[in-house]
Amino acid sequence: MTGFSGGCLCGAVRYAAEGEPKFAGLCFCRDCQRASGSACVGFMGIPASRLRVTGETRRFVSVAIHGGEAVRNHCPACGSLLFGGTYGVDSQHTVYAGSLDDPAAFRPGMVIFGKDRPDWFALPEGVRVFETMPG
Amino acid sequence: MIRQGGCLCGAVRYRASAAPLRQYLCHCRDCQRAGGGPFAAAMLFAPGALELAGTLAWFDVAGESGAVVRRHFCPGCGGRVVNAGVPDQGYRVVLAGTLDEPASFRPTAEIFCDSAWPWLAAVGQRKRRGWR
Repeated sequence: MTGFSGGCLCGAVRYAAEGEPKFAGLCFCRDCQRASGSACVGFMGIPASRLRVTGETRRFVSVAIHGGEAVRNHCPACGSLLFGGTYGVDSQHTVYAGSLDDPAAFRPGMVIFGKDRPDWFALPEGVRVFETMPG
Repeated sequence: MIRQGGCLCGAVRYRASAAPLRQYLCHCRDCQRAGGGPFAAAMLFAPGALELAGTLAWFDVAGESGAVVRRHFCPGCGGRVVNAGVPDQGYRVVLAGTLDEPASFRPTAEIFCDSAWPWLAAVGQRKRRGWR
């Protein structure tokens, strides 16, 4: 991956990132399950300086595991879940892989909140599994 | 077993009075884009089997099969909760990640597998396209 692009279902929000993600993984936490409707989300960590988002997004803030804030952004028109972190404020974002134009390029290197992974979801070889968060 | 759940912020809640007709994964690009995950974890309920409380927004989109899907989400947190057909024949597809007890979701089939993430292992009968 020498950069990646994606956007929401209705096309009102688009994003483009330069360069490789700093990290990539799957998050099985209950909040990501509820927000996505799926078993997990795929995420790619990217410095804010290398990510450009166009179109209006709506933030939703929930309490993270260690008491901090977890910020998720969706398209207000179609509801698609797009990226984490406050755009224009945070120095790093997590972009959700389902919204990629080419999701086949996404390869997770880690699993977080592995404790909430359903038993029917087999992990690919070589991923590092954390019960909750790394560290 | 009572299947109930809701969106991330809790403004939308549901409760099913019957078991789902089907439990499956949908790998279509629309479900991937909407949820941010690898697939939609889906439970199909018969007409009348699902009681919903709260206000939902929705977005209509013609899927890969050509059928129009009405995708409902919570306007507050953006969490997707339920899909319906257009025109509505009463069937409801509930997104299983929203279950209060997600372990009750047991998928036995997968649809639109041409766009499945390539490293995912199969969990059930795999169909290239939708049900029809």
